[in-house]
Amino acid sequence: MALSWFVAYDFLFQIIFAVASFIIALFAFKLYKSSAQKQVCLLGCSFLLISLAYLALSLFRLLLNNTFLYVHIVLFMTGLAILLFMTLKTDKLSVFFVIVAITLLIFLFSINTLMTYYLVSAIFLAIISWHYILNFLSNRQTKTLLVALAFILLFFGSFHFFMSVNHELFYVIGHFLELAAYLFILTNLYLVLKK
Amino acid sequence: MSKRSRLEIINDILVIIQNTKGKPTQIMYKANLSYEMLSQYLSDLIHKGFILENKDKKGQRTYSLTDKGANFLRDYTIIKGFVESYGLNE
Repeated sequence: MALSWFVAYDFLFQIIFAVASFIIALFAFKLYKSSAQKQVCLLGCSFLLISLAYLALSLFRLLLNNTFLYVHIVLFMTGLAILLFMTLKTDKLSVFFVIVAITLLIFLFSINTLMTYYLVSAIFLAIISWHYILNFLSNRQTKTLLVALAFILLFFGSFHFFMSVNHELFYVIGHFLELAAYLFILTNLYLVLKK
Repeated sequence: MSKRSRLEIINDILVIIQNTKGKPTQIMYKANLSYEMLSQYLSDLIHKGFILENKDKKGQRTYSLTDKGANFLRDYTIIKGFVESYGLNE
């Protein structure tokens, strides 16, 4: 639920998020080429889907066509499902399909798709954040802290979007929380490249 | 001493292969791995295209780095930093 004055900024925010997540995806694929680490490739895939999801949302803001909103939801949830699958540390592909199937079923039987989307993505992000918090606790570095903080902010951002269904100002706050999250993710990338 | 991650073991093996003649026993002792573990890692590294298996005149196996293996060593610090920050250790 966007405030009328915020629509133009909303479009700009989506483009910034799309570019930031695309940079991470590109970097992950580049590293996968030289490392052949499956997990790095999966991270690249998830960020690529998230980047395309933001692009779809920016198109929705621009053209006001609901199809783009649904494309955004599918791409974003699949991206998060990959991240969730990675946190489970399993090689079983069936686990990933179970996550996707349950998510699809929830959407199929939901009355309010947008509210369900905000709620389910907040739950996914809460679990993913917990994984990154544990990663920080087992390996206390600035880099692990930045990633953990970024996903915590993404979780709170998603939670604010959920709240925005009734209070529009939360929608704006959610965007700034996401912006801070992507700044942390890009700062981490800078630190990785600096060494 | 903390347990080495899979990525660190791969790096150790590739560094040894780069700096020695790449004999299996030499790699095994220097990388501090059991025969079974080394066999698994070598087979994985061949499959991923990081190393090549050669046979010398006496028929003894040796290993050498491929360009991809050399690229891994070149980018290792960056790969390690990225993998650690996202907890992607396999």
